[in-house]
Amino acid sequence: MAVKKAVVKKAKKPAAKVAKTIVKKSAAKKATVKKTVTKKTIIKEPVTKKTTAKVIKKVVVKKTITKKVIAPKKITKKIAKQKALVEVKDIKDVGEELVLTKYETGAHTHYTEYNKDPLETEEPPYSYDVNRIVILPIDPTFAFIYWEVREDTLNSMFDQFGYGSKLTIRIYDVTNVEFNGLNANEWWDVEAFNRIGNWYLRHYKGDRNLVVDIGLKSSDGLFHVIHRSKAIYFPRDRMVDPGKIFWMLVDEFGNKLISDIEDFTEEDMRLLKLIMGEERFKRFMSGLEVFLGGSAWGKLPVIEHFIDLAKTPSSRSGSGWR
Amino acid sequence: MAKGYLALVLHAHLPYVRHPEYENFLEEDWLFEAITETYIPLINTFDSLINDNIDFRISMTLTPTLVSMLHDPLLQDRYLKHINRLIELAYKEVERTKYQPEFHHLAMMYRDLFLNCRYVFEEKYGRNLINAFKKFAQMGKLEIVTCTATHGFLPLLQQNEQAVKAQVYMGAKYYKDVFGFAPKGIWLGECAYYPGLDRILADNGLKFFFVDTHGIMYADSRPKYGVYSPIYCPSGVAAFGRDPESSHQVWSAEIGYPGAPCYRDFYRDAGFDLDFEYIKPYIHPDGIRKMTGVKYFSITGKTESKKPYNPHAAYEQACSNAANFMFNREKQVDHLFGLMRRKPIVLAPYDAELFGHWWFEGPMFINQLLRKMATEQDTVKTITPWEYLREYPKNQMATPAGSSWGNKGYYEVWLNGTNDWIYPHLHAMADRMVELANMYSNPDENLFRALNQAARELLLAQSSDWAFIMNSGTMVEYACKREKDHIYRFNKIYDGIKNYRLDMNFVAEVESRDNIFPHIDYRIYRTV
Repeated sequence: MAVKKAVVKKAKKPAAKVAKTIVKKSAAKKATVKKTVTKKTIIKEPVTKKTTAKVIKKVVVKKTITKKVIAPKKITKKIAKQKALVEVKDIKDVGEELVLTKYETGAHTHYTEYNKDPLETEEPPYSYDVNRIVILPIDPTFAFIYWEVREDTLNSMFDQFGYGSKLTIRIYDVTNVEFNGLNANEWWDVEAFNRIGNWYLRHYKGDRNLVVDIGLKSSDGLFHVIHRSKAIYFPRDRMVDPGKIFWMLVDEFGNKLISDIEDFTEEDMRLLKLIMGEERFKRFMSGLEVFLGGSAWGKLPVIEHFIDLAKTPSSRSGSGWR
Repeated sequence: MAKGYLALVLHAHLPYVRHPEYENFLEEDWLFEAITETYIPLINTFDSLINDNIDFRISMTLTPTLVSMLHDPLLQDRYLKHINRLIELAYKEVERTKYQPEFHHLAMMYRDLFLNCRYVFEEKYGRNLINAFKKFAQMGKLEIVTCTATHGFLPLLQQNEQAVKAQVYMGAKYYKDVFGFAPKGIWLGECAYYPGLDRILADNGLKFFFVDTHGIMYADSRPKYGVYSPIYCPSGVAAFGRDPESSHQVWSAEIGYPGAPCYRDFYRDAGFDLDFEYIKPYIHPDGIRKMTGVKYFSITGKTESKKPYNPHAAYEQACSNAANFMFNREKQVDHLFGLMRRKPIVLAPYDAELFGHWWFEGPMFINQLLRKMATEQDTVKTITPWEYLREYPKNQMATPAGSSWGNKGYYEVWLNGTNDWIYPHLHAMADRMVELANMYSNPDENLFRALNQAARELLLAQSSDWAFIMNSGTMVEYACKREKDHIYRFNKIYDGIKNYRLDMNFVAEVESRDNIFPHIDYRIYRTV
């Protein structure tokens, strides 16, 4: 959290309009997330303090267990909420609710004793003093990127390439490519503003490899790489087209043998539909099975902005490779 | 003759929570509750099936963090104190409710349950429940699969491949140390897979793992038999896919079994309902109310007025649910066998703690299901994944799609605005660990201890549970603190080693607290 806060604060300084938009949107994103979390907490809390007090009072008077507590109401609310959701989302959401009860002790609004731990501790470091950029997959079309550039590296690069240069993130689509820095299928740039930061990226298609660079873009349009990320594969979100089926034999010692190869035929297609059930099969075909209810799109508006930026012609630079 | 198989897989996992520095630590209740409500009832279920000569097969993950806690003498002592307190409460409850017949028999039920827990824990299995699971495994009834060392979420650790390798290696090695033989299968933390991971599994001698349904359906070659037959990755490791139908029957809020009105309500607990002075000795010593496990009401329905729990009605319901589940599997397998012309495998994985802890009657359901399946029909047999692979060694080859079993099917639960701050640290720590491991090949005793402790801190920080809890909104403070503590402890040791000012008092203190994997060797992080 320390990293993020710092980035947001720093980003407020530049006068550029774009920077302001991003800061605002980051704040909006934070608020959205916070709101959701708070809401969730309230739902899961079985009994509030007020309720507890009420219960104690009743028990003292009647010497019996009172029936009037809020817990059932909470459950009802939760069920009602889940009912409104579509069937497929239901399965996953309820699963999570059930898993959460593993951590439910009933007492989660209070506990501060752990913070008096006698063993020394500190907040995590703001920086690791390295040059790095990392891209991580969230879902087929959603990525998290974070970066850090050392202060001395940045200063020496500004000295070398001019103070008009801009710290820039370059995103490459390197699907089915042995990437050498020059042969990406597609690439686009976005300005980074801060030497340490993070962003979410929405792209438009899964089943692809992405690489990101952090570098300095000088005023003559040349891009000078500081660090290149590892290529990361983004998962597929629908069934592949029919192709060959390879059959493999593996013995108990792990010896492998490809025994047969056949085509995935129309008959196989018919069979698969029957095996998985027609309705479910349709959803798999269109990639809806795990996407109903939406992913994090919209929860993190900063990313949409990021993509808009990426798609505008001014941010793209066809020349200036390095 | 059976026309197909059901593979029930129970994933038993808790993060490593052990705080010797405190006499009472709230989050240790996660373990104690799970022992009382899930692990012992499951052990009793398996024992009763064996006593009655019922043939059954079931698979369980026992994660290295859970096994470490079940092995730990401090936590064993604390559990005994915990169960003794509950027994005392239950006796008091029997007395308190003697003029309330609707609650009195429940108080007696809890007294007997807690007494049984103490007997099973202390006398029958000598305080170490791993002994029980080992016994079932050696009888061929239970297949125990391992898990990544600390339930790391591997797709988000792939930035440093050595970190992923260490998670898998330690998971397999610890299993072998504890059970005496190598694991056949692995449960990837949160069923999270990314293409290429299977090669690391193969290098560690693992034969199979599990993915969610879309992991198979979106594989790089269309799966001929859907999720009802495993696929082999090009590395030769098999991936079994979750059956959506059987999952739905248990997980779903609408039609799921655990929501039946006569089942016990999870949230109504004596810890909150009873007079403060009366319940005080059984809640947190600071006076914080918490759940005790003594619960008197049934779910009843969408009402605030809950009915007292009726165990007989609940038992009938569990039997009926088991019969329904079996009936559905029979129909499903019959249908699939006709289409596939080979025996399908229906994989039904669940969180073990669902059974007993959340769904009180869950172990009863499993007991009845396994009995009915063994005695009342011949269409479906229970099987373990490894047995299935021995019967069907030839399967389609394809690489599963990146996926997890979390909400929305990918990695979002573990990487979003609530928990993204942890990843820059986790990756930097992994890089630093590899740097240290490559730098020191022949350390003296102190340095060796420090390097091993750094490896433990890294593994504990990588536990997927912290990110999950941060996302969930429950116990967030604890998860953040744990994450920050492990980051701090790792970095302090790293700085100490790098700058020749290692504080061995600090290392010793941290060793005594974070004592997981006593035989770890930091050289698992070497890349040269």
